[in-house]
Amino acid sequence: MAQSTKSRAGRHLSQIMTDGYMELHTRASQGAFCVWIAINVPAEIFAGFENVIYAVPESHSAMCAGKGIGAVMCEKAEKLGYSMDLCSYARIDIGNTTDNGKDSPTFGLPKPDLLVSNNNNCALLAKWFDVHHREWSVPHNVMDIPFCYTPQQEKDHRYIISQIKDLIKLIERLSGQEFDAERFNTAVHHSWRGLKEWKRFLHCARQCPSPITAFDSFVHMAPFLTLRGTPVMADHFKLLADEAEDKSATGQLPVPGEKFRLFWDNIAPWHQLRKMSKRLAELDANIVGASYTSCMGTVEGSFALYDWDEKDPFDYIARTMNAYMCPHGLELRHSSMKEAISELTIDGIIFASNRSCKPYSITQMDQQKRISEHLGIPATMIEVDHADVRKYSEANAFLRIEALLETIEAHRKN
Amino acid sequence: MDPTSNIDLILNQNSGGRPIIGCFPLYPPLELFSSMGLYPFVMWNLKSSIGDLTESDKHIQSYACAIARELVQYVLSGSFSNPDGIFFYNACDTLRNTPEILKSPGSASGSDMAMLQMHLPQVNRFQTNADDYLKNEIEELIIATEKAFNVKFDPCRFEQTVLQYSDLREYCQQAETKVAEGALSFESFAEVVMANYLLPPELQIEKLIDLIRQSKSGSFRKSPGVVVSGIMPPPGKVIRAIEASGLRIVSNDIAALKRSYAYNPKPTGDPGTYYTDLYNNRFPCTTLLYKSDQRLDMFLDLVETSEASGVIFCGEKYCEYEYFEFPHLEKRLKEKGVAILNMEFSIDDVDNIGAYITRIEAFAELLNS
Ligand code: SF4
Ligand code: SF4
Repeated sequence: MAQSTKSRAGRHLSQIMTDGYMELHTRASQGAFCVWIAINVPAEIFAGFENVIYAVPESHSAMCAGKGIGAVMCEKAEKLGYSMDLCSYARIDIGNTTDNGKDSPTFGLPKPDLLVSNNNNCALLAKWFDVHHREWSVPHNVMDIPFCYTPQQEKDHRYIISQIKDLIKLIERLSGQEFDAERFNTAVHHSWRGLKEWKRFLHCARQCPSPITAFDSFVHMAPFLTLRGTPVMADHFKLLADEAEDKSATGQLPVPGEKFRLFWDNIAPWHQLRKMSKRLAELDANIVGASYTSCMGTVEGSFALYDWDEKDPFDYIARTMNAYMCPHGLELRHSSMKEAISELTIDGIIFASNRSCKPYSITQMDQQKRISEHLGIPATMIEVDHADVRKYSEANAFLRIEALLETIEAHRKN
Repeated sequence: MDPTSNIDLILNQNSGGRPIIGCFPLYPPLELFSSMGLYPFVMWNLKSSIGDLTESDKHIQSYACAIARELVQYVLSGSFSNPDGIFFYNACDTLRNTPEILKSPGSASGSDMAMLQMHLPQVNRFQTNADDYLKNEIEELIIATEKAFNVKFDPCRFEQTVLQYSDLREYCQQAETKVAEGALSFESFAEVVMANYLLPPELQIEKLIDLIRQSKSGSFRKSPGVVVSGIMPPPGKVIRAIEASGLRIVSNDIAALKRSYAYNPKPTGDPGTYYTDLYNNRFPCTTLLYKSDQRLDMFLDLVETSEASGVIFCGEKYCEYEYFEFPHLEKRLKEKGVAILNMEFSIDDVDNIGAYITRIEAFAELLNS
C-alpha cells in the first residue's frame, strides 16, 4: 500500500523543498540575479556565480499539479487565449503568472532576469518561454541541443559546449558577476555524487518484491531539478537510497503481495500519484520503474549511469544534457527500455499517451508494438495528461490496466 | 482523376526518372537537391490525395497535427510509390519523431528508402555563432546525398539552380502583389503555389507567369484588407468565402506561402554561404526559434504596411508553434485597432465549412461597418 505517513526521506524532501523555495524568494528579494530554466539546462552553471539563483517552471507546474491545483491554473491561461491543447505545464505556469502565484503552494516564482530554454526535451519550451520574454521584456536565451537518433555526436557535443560558454558570458554581462570555474566544478561534483546515490536508490527496485515504487521516484526526483549542484540534493539522494536499502533488508514493502511488476513510460501522472499507487497496490501491481526517472544521469540508449571520469565538468554537463527520454529517437528509447525490462524483471508496460507532451508520446504506438512483438512483453496504452486532470479518466485507465494484468496472468499460464 | 493517384502521377510525369526525395518540414534545401539531379518535393498539402488515415492511426496519436498524420499516412499506406529518399531536419516535437516511424521495420515504406538528415541550428544568432555548424551540416548532407544516390555535387550547377529558385521566389512575390492589389484572387494564387510544390522549378515558374498574365488590370475597389496567417493556407472553400465576403487578402503570413518565398538570398555557387544566408535571414516563421524577436516585429510591420484592417489566424490544430503565439499577437494587434478572426483547421475541417463561412461573413460585416 502507498505510505500514509511520511518516511524519513519523505519528511526530509518536504523540508528541503520548502527551504529551497523560501531561499529562492528571499535571495531574489535581496537582489540576486534570477534565471528561469528548462529542466535540462545544466543548473550547475549558476552555482559558478556568487549571487545567481534559478527557478524551474516545469518543476513548479508539476508541484501545482501534484497539489491538485493544476486544472485551476490551466484555466487561467486558457482565459488569456492559450489553447487547451498546449502542454499543461506551460498552461499552469502561464496561468500562475496572471496573478503572481496567488494559488501556488510556493507563492509562485520570483520574476526572472533571464530566461534560458532549450529545445531537446521539446521545442515548445522555447515558445513557452517566449511568452514571458515578450510579456516582460526579459532576455531569452534558447539553447539548441540537437535531437538524437544516435548517441550524441562529437560535433554536437562541441556545439553544446560553445553554447554553455556563451551562456556564461551572457550571465556575466547581464548580472555583472564573474564566473568562478572552481565553484562550478564543485557543483558538478555534487550532482555527480547525487546521481550515483539516485541510481543506488533505483537499483533497489531490482529486488522482487521491490521495496520501492516508481511513484517514490516521481516524488523524490524534484531536488535534481530545483537543487541541482548542491550538497543538499546529494545528501537527500543518499538518505533516500539508504532508506530504500534498509526497507529492502527489513522487508518493508510498498506492495507486499507484489504479483505484477510494471514499467511506466511517460511523465508522472502528478494528479494521480496517491490514488493510482493505492489502487495498483490493491491489485498487487507495482510500477517498479519508469523511463521518466530512470534516465536521470544517463545518456542516450541506456539507463545506466553515465560514467564520468571526473575531469572536465563542461564535458560532463554537455554530454549529459540529453539525459531525459524526449531528446531521443525511437531506437534509442527502445534500447533503454529493453535493458530496464530485463534488469527489473518487468511483466508489463504502461504507455501513458499524453496529449500534453507530444515529444514523449509520439513513437509510443510503435514502441508498444515492438516491445510486445519483439520482446513478448504485454503492454497497454492509457490516456493521461500529466498535469491537467480534466484530460484523464480513471475508469478508462484502470479498465486497460486491469486488462493488462489479465494478459500478464494469461501469459504466465501459457 | 483518382485523387489517390494524383501525387504519384504528377511526380512520375515530371521527375524524368530522377530520384524523388520527399522533404519535411517546411524549408528544406530544395536548390541543393535539385542541382544534384534529384527531384525534391515538400511533403505537405497531401490531404486531398491520401483518402483516410487508417495507417497513420496505427502509428501516431490523433493529437498530432493533420500535416504529420497525412505525412505518415502517405508514406506508410502503401497506396503510393514511395519516394526514393526522405530528407528531414529538426522541426517541431511531432515531426522530429516521425522519421523512425516512417522507416519502421516491416512497414510498407520498406527499408531501401534513403534517409537524409540535417540539424538546422536554432540558437539565437546574436548569442552563439552557428554559421560554421550549419555549413558543416550542409557539407555532410552533400556527402550523404552523393553516396545515397550516386550523384555528384557541382558548384556551377548549384549556382544555376539557385538562380532559377531566385526567379521562382520573385514570381511568387509579383503574384502576391497582384493579389494585394485585387488584380488576382488569393484563391487562385494559393492554389498555384501549393500545387507547385510537386513540380520542377521551371514548370513552377511557367505556372506563375500564366497566373500573373491572368491578373486583371485597371483600378480596383478598395475593399477592407486582411492578412491571413498560419502554416498552410485555409481550404479553398474558406478562401473563397473570405473573398466573396468582400475582403481583400492584402498580404499573408503563411508558412507554405510568404514565409517560404519572401527572402531571396544572394546567388552563389557555395552552398554553405547560400544556406547560412537563407536560413539566417529568411522571413521569420514560428518554427524558427531563433527568429522569435524578428518575427514579432516583422509580423506587426507586415500588417501595418499592407494597411490591413484585420488578421485571420488560421490555426493548424495541435501546432504548438503557432498556438503559443496567438494570444500575444492578438493583444498587440488589438492595441493597434486591428480586428482578429481566429479559425482552427483540423483533419475534418472540410466537413464543417458552413460554420467557418458564417464567422467570416460576420467578420467582414465588422470590417465593412
Ligand atoms: S511538452 Fe513535454 S517535454 Fe515539453 S514542457 Fe511539456 S511536458 Fe515537458
Ligand atoms: S503544423 Fe506545426 S505541429 Fe504540424 S508539422 Fe507543422 S510545425 Fe509541426
